[in-house]
Amino acid sequence: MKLEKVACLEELSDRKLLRLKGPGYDLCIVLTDNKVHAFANRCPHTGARLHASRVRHNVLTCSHHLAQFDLCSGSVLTFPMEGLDVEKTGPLVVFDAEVDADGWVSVDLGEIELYGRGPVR
Amino acid sequence: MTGAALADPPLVGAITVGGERLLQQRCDRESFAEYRAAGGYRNAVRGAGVLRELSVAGLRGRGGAAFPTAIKWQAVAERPGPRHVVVNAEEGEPASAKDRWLLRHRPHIVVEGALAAASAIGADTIWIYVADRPAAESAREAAAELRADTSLGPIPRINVVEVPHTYVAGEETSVVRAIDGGPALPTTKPPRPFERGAAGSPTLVQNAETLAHVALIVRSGAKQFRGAGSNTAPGTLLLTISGDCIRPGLVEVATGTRLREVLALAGGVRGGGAPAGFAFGGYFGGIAGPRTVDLPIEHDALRTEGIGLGCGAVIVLGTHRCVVAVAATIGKFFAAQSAHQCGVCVRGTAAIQGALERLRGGRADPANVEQLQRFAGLVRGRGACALPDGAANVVESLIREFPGTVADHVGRVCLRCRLPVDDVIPNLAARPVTSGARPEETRSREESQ
Ligand SMILES: Cc1cc2nc3c(=O)[nH]c(=O)nc-3n(C[C@H](O)[C@H](O)[C@H](O)COP(=O)(O)O)c2cc1C
Ligand code: SF4
Ligand code: FES
Repeated sequence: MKLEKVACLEELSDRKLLRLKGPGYDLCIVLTDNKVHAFANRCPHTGARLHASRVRHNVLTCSHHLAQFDLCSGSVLTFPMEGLDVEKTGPLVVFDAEVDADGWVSVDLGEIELYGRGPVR
Repeated sequence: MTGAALADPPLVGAITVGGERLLQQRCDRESFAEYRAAGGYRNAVRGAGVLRELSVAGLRGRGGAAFPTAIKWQAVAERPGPRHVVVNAEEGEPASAKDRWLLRHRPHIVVEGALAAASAIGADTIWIYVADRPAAESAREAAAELRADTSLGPIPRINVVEVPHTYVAGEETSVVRAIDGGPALPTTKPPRPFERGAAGSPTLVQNAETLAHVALIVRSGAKQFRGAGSNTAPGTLLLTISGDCIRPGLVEVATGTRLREVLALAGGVRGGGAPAGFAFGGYFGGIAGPRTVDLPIEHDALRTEGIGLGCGAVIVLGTHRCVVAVAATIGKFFAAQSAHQCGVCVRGTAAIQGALERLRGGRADPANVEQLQRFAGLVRGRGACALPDGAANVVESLIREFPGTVADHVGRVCLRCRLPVDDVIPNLAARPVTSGARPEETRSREESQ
């Protein structure tokens, strides 16, 4: 599933998360270092929401247990500081985000049915 | 039990690049004048620069979880003030002595680290949180010495809080609860102290040793700090080595040093022969087999082997020890130190204790071993604090590392199990005060500025 023109580049202030929620999806987009990233609004540690988290360069820090993820690949950079199954924390689900010539952002969610149902891990 | 004096650990030695950093061969207390003359309180970096330097240094917490310090500081710094810094020197692990050694003998290196943290995150209050009376007195004296010296300019308020020495008192939510006048017992999370801690303000709770490393980082820089230790957990760490070794005490090693080298510094296994195993992390990290001597002492490397380094307390178990007896004694410790707030912890730690006692007494059948493993899975992560995980670690490590020994105990009485192990698995004098505790009975607080 592809979400077309979900936001305009001008709406995105640097490093501020924009939450997009609709039927079967809940994700965040963010502009950082002149690049737009899109990712599932669900921390792979406990499944908690991520839209209050912090982004710096391409690193997302979850506000719950301070785990860090690379926004380009989704990989875990720092495991959570505590909580259940800290070391089993999987990667963040990231999606392809494109910006067209007019500055509109589109997000390719891929297999959205899978994402909507199961755990992110 | 507030204010009891605990044993003063002897120093054993150091294996680092460029010698000792935190440890010094001394029995006395380093005064303000002495610390200053040796280059203390002349920090080159202050304010936001400290956070940058810390991030490059890659310092990880020494209180147990080895979490990257800079990330936690950033989380506190970006929340609205006022903010607090807590030096966590409660040291609830009975086999650990590093934090009390630092506060008794080198209080200023810890206080300088706390001042650097306060300047980096914009905190106006520092709490020094301790269970050991001499450490508390030394901290108070350090605060008074700082106050008397005007050359450092304005510094945050420094308060010393003393609590009874219990296992859960060092957990970070217990810490902020006790500082706020309550009993030193964990609370549910969220909020976590970095969100809402002492007096409802964002609070940085940091282990005393971690802050001592911070003082060295602000003085000599990240590059120097990274000159010892592994890439992913750089620097040195303090280990308290005890149990069946010839010279028990404190050791400072570069992370990644093999346990074999540390054991040699401690004079080897008492009575000779190969060790039966090691209890790690104090009691929290589980029991590891003799193979551990060749593993690097580093959180990540040990974690992949299922062993928790925790706060760096390592108990050597001599050839004559039975690991089942050791596990049963640690199981009993966790059941006794449960703060009786969470049903799963009260019932789970008691069930684990009972099952381990049955195994020790030769009364277990194969189903009991499976049951033991199930209990461990059931309690893990289910308490308000991680105490039940400590009990689970002991069970799981015992079954994983010593399957033959466990099998030999099923339905059979082990004579070595009859030998008491209290000499190497010490208990705590105090238990968590769980009901009817009046805060003023469980803590004493002194404001020194
Ligand atoms: C049951 C329990 C007991 C703890 N006891 C201590 C303690 O005695 N000292 C300590 O520094 N941290 C202790 N911790 C860890 C603290 O909650 C906290 O993570 C630590 O002080 C943070 O410091 P660090 O990041 O410098 O390691 C304990 C944790 C748990 C779950
Ligand atoms: S898990 Fe146990 S020790 Fe921790 S708060 Fe609950 S009852 Fe207390
Ligand atoms: S929920 Fe994100 S780190 Fe735990």
